[in-house]
Amino acid sequence: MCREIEAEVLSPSPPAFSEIVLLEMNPHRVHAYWHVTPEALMQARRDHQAPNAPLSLWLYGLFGSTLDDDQAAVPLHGEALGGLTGQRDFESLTGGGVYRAAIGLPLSDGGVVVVASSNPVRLPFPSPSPRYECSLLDIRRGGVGAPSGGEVHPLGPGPAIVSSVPWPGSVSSVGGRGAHGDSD
Amino acid sequence: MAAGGLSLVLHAHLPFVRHPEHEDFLEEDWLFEAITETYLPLLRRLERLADDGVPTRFTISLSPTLTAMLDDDLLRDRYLLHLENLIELAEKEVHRTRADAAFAPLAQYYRDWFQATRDAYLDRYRRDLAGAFGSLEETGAIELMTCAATHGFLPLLKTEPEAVRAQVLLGQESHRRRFGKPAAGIWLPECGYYPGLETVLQEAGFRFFVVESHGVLNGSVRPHYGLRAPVACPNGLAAFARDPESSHQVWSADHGYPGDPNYREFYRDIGFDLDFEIIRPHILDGKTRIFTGIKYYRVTGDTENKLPYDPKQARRMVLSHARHFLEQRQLEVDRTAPAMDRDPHILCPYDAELFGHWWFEGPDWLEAVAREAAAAHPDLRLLSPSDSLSQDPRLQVLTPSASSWGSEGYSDCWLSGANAWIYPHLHRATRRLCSLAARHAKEPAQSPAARALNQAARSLLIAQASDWPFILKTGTSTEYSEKRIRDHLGRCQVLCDAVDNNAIDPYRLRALEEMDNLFPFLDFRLYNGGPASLLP
Repeated sequence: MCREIEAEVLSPSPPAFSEIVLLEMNPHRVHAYWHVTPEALMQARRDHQAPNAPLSLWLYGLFGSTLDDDQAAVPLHGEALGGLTGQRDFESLTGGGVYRAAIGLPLSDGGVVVVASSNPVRLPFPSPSPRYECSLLDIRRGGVGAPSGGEVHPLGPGPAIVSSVPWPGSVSSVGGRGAHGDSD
Repeated sequence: MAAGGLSLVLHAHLPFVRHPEHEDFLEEDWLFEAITETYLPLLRRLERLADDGVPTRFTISLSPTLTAMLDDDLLRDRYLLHLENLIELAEKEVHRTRADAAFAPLAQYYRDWFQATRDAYLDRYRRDLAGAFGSLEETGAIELMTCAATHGFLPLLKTEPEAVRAQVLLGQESHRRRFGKPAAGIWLPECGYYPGLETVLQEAGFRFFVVESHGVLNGSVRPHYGLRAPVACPNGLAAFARDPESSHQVWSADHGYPGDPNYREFYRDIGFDLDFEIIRPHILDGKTRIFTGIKYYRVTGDTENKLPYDPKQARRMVLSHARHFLEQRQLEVDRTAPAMDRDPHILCPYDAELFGHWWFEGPDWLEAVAREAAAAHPDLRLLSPSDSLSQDPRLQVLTPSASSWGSEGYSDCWLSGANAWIYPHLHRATRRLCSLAARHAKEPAQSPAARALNQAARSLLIAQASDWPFILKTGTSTEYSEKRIRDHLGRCQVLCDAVDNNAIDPYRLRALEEMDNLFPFLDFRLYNGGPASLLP
């Protein structure tokens, strides 16, 4: 019985909606995949009287205070796309930075029509935090919520053990824009 | 010498390689080889330690897919056939090498070992290896952990939170059903962590997880104790960091213990060394050379001219390496203890299959570490992560940074030019399943639609295994891995289409349930915010 249906065929029918998704790869790189429906593209061109506007992809750095704060989005990269579906990496980004991507049409007045906008991603920091804060949490107490019941560690103002573990060596740093957690 | 804690954590996992649609199937050998070379040797050594009264405390994570395969009657039957074939081959080798002073003892060694393995599997363990690990946990010799349901790499599934939640909750549910109680610890597949994951880990009832070293070192604040103590996420979930030095000593291809010239050479196997006609009756398709597990040479050195393996000499090195390992850990404890207000703790996690399968002498080394620790290092206490948390539950609050134990330390290994194509499919399939789960939330449990959605979830879960993109990246067995991804995504798609069109073929559904028989208790409403199972 099983042998007859050993291989169901994955028919890669494109989704019925437009989307762009960002995935974190490492502190300096994100991966994007996208799909735009022909209908959405035609509609955008028609609505904005931009029949020849090229479908384009932009990556933004978000320099607001939270993952969802798009107020201070700075475009870092833009390119015209050759098709409705694709994948690519963005490199040389800043560890700890927050990024979002969008796909749409550039307008002649400098504006942009967004057809699909990605999830925001925060890249990990590639190096130890400059912040030191030793609050202790007694996990027997359930540990739910912020460690408001924690105590200030009595041993002093800095780490007791400084680890010299070199890791990872394969990802080159391009510098950080701020300290760990300073924009959380 | 200063007192310290040492946790040896072995992560045992294989992807779901069960193929009832074929009489025999090459990739099922992954399981059979691991049973013979790793799981049974580990069990025997742990029991021997207990029999000898050696205080032992290892931590073993059994992934849900591995546990399901160890419990599967079809695979148990096939394992015995696999062993019988090996014994027959070993018998022939005893005859073939009878006049060869160098290899005759080795041929006898393999024959005796395979026969003893069969006897132990049948008589001592009655084919129930997962149960044997459970019994060991009851004695206190080990603590069991679990893992995400099918070893999905969670950082690349997190854009669909329901996918992560299903992996985590189902992993815990699977463990609870098999071992009678929830696991305190979860092995995050590939040590893949991202900030926020602890929320669903807490929902599943876990108390701790393991992260790569830089997850803690590059966390939200500087770790007060470096890597010598676990930390607590703000919600109280404890995170233990992998100790890089002890990992290096065992894992490193160039400098690790397994590369010692006296140890058995993995890559010289009679499946490739002998005339094809000798091994042809013992390989699946009669055409393709495979590893048989019978290996006559030792590492020797960086040369093609390998020398015969000498088990006695290898055993001497095992003892030497166990002593060295413990001395190095004691030195680290001595170095760090003066600066700490608690005993330093070192966590050494490894893939379980390294021991025995890749490093033949590995199980002996683990046994030697336990014996030497008891005999010569009274201040270095073997303990589990749970023991450590009981000993000192006051942890520094620190959110680890996104990290994994992959070669680049993040997600690159599972998201590269070789495997990035799978993620749009995985994410879209999850969204579709969530949508259907919401629409059919009131479906009676055994209705065709409910069964079809349960099965679609199983297919999706199997497609999410981190093993497939890893294999695609490394370039081994890529055809098989790609087929597995496409097959399971295809099955998920067909089942979702059938539910959507109200056209469920009961014959096809039954066949799929038989083929991918993981998690029989799974309820698709898991993808609509429900629990992993509605069954008691």
